[in-house]
Amino acid sequence: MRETAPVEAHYRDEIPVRQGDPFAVRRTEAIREFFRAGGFPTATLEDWRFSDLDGLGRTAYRRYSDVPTLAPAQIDELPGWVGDFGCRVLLSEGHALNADEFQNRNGLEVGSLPAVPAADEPHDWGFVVPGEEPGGTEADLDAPLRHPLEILNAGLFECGFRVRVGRSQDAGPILLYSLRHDVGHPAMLHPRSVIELAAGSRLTVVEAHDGVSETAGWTNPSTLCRVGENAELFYVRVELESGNIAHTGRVTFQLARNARVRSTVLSLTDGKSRTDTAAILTEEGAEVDLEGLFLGVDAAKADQHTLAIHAARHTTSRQLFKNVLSDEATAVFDGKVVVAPGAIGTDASQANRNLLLSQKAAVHTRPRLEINADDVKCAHGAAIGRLDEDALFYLRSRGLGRMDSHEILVRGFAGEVVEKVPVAAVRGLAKDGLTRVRESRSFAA
Amino acid sequence: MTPLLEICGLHVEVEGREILRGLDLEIPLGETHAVMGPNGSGKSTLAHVIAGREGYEITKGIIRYGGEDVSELEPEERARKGVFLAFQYPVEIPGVNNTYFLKAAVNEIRKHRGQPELDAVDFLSLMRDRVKLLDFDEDLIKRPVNEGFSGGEKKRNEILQMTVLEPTLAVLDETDSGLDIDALRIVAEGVNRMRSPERSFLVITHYQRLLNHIVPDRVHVLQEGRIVESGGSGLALRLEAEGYGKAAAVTA
Repeated sequence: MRETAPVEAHYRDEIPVRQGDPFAVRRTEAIREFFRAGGFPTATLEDWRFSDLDGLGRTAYRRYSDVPTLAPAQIDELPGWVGDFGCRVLLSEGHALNADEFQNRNGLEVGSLPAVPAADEPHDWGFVVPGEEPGGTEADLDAPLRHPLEILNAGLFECGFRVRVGRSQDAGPILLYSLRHDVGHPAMLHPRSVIELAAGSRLTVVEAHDGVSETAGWTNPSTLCRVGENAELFYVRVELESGNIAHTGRVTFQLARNARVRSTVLSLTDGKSRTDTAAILTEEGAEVDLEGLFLGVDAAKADQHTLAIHAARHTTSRQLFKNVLSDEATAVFDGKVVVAPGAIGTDASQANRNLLLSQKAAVHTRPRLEINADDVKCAHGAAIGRLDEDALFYLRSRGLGRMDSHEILVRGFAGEVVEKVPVAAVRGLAKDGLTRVRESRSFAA
Repeated sequence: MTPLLEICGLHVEVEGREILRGLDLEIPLGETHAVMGPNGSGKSTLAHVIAGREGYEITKGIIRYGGEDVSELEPEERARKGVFLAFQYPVEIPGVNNTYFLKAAVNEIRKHRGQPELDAVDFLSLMRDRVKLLDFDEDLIKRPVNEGFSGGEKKRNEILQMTVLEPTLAVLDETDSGLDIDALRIVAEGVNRMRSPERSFLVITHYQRLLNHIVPDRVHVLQEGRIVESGGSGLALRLEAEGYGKAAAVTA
């Protein structure tokens, strides 16, 4: 028998134990699987080459519920933009702040994950059976759910969001907001969320992770979105955590026939983050837009990893990820498109555009295409550059100041992603991020 | 009276290469002057150095505008004092809306002049008025600056900006290049409407045809970085007939 390493023992001790938890057995299996498969990924692995996560494995993070003195935030202490949402789920340190506001009517269910999920819904939380490998030459549709940190989340989650939109309902915008604080010891938070759209429904949802901590912290949320036939999801993710909080998040979209998803990930963190966005186009006519914007200042680092799996005929994916990097900010874009055998008529495009405002800013970009079918259209491109001197002179020759001209060009660059976000409050957050870029040390230096 | 623009013995280097070599030029207020010259004579360098482009190093000489030495001023400072450059190659600026950009520019200039800023309503009515005069497609002003514009639309956009910003000195850098005859006429009419005793134009061109429409008070021939000959508007016709070689021979 294998001896349990101290780090594995630590995480097994962190598994939340509750009476009647239908996931109790799976949790233990998940932790075992995580460590059996190598534990915390290191930079020696191809998928983790540029993701500096070594610190995660070395820090003995503990769950929030281990902090008996913790006082959750009051609703009126939350940032003002949160008030713009009539429908919202607010979590502080994983505890629901506004359970009285949750909706459960007219085919719409909005709430936080119950402390003990109902015994009859274990499959609703998007687990895969650890260790099970796909057979044949078909694309591995569960690959995003086999992500190591996804598996770790499956073992440790004890909070999260749940949204269900009934047939032909039109809902949103809904805010799913998680806030965390410095609790004086290295704390980890593993929210697990499921968003389900029944056939023909529509939803606009914003998932936001906020908080500041000087003590090392770690947030590792998993979100699974199941989008039914002819349903349409606008998903916006905002990463606002700052200080010493490491963020490793995943969102996975499963699209049925003629489903549409438009996803935007805004990384406004000044810490380190990695976000894995995956879209699985399981049936004909499914269509997804994956977009992202990172506004990096100081030593911020944001990794965007994407995966679009075309598993059916005539499916479409478009990816556009942009980075604005000032000071010593670093970005990674690792975008993958997989076209399964037989997925003819696939239309996939991918673009990564980077604006470097400083000599010390850096970006690693890597497109990966795996095409196993004929009659497909796949385009990809990456660009890394500085502000266009001709454009700067053009603006200044019209009377606009040097700083303003720089700012106008940066806003124009970011606008291609920001302006498409269907929620004004979130566009406001992006504008705040652009102001931080303007105020950064290297701006127009 | 002091000329509006006075350039004396100007030497300019670009990337270590001397392009202007002792250029002298005076434009009194209210006059329109043309500078003609062959490719490589320094026409665009002259336009850019008047507007204050970085990287155009004045090694000798002086540029005075309204009696003030502006050689060291930033491009935006010159623009706010009333200098305007219509670009030979207008720049495409993705993601920046034409109207937004022009409103910001107008208000910078108004601020400098001590005038109140225009609000969105006033600005739009000003734009509508100018757009109509230039037969400009109104949809274009809602689009990003110059993005996807045809060559002619870009040049018309330059003139539109000029009519909105109302400069005291407008430098037109080969505004005729790439224009068909109808567009040329519209652009020229836009310029002619703005001619006034309070405004001067410097029209830089390779060809004489633009000067049939914008008839200059004076024509200067630029060759190898210097003005080699000056005369009335008839000089342009002579150059068209005889070519630039003859002008060079006169000075040789």
